[in-house]
Amino acid sequence: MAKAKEDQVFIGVDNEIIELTGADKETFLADRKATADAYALLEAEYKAKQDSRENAIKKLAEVAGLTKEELASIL
Amino acid sequence: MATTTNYSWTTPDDTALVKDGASAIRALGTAIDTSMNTALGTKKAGMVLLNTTSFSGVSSQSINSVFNSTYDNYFIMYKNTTSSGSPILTLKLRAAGVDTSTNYGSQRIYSQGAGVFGERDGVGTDELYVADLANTGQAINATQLYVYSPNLAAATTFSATNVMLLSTTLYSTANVGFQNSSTQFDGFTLIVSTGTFGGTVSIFGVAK
Repeated sequence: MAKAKEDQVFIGVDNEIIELTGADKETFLADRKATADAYALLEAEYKAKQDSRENAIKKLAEVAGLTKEELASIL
Repeated sequence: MATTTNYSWTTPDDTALVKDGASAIRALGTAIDTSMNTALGTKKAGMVLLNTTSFSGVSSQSINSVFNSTYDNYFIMYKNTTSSGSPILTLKLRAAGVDTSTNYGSQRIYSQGAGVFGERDGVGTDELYVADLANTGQAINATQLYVYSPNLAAATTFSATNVMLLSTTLYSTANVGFQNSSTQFDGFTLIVSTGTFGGTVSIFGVAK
């Protein structure tokens, strides 16, 4: 098939290729955005938890007078 | 007497008499029956290829009319060949050409190099998380998916695994999930979260 322009959306249905237009296209794009947003939110939450954990380990290591690696080997 | 190439079944010579035709057909039938029984007994083929579709440059790919009452469970293989960006690949079940976007649940465990991670409903509950694609990893990117009971009036369950090489880092994901309704689905749609994708998808029915 010819290369799609950036704002075109094509879907495959069995062996047919169909260009989505109008409301169908908007619905499809909104649905995909919801997928990407849901995953981005999950990743952000995960990163926040990781950062929080890293900070807690760092503080604990400081209090204990150990390096992070020494503390990790004990934990 | 002439014989067949592989199993040496006896067939009439060109000069054989027509009046011996019935006997010759019976002898050939018996020989085939014996060979088939030796090879398979009463066993049937375990999996039957129902559909292979190749596609490219699309944002989703629907496969209609592949699930029916002949099989309860299905095996799907997807070999990714192209993708723009690094999209998430998801799946929606469909009936009579319409995707269903509710009542999904999925759990994913994935690893990237030495790291192992997990999550529930990573893409929400409107579809099933199947795999990750990357525009640099097609040479080593394969996905396989088992779908249980999509055409029965009962919940559909899934398990999927995917392997991908991201540069030099091996990436793998294992997903399990469900679609909790009694809808009798007859097909499915693969969707990428961004850009377009391509490849070949094959659907097999698993013998009951």
